[in-house]
Amino acid sequence: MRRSPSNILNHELIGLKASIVGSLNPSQIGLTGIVVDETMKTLVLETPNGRKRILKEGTHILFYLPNCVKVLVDGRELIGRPEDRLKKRTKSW
Amino acid sequence: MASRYEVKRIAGERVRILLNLASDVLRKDEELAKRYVQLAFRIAAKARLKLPREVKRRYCRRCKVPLIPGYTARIRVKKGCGGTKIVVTCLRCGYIRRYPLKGKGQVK
Repeated sequence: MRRSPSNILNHELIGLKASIVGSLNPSQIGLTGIVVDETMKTLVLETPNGRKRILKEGTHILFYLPNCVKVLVDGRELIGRPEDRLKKRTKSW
Repeated sequence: MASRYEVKRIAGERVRILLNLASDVLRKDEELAKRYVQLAFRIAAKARLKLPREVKRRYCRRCKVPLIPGYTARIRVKKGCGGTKIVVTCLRCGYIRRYPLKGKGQVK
């Protein structure tokens, strides 16, 4: 697993632990869980309270990578079907 | 920058992650497992990745369920006029695949 902050946009999100740290929907802030599915515009998190579908746009998501690195991502950069995100869409920061 | 080599490398990692996850969740949520397999194949296709034969044959072509002998798949060895064959039946969707066996060396 070579997921790193530099290639998180292209890599697989399913299986990663994630937290919502910012959202246009205030009830979503603080949600934490494991990414279980992904669509073009949403992520599905498995939380202690069940499966929650959250929009990528308008949220800031913190991903916990396996090597204890944490990445904060603007949801807008993640928009796209999982197979489409594979190609390009690299943003250098 | 996403060079072609990088794309394939990342795709390979993603496919491996997804297929492992699929086997892990199979007992708890079959639909989810199928979804992971489907995603894995789509990613491999987008990246033009050639998956090894053994990997491709572990999942049902039609319904994408991971094939586990005894749980999701029925394995039989049959003799026909083409030679001996191994017959794999998907217990979820009924899709059947037959592979020829050569003496001892068979690929699963």
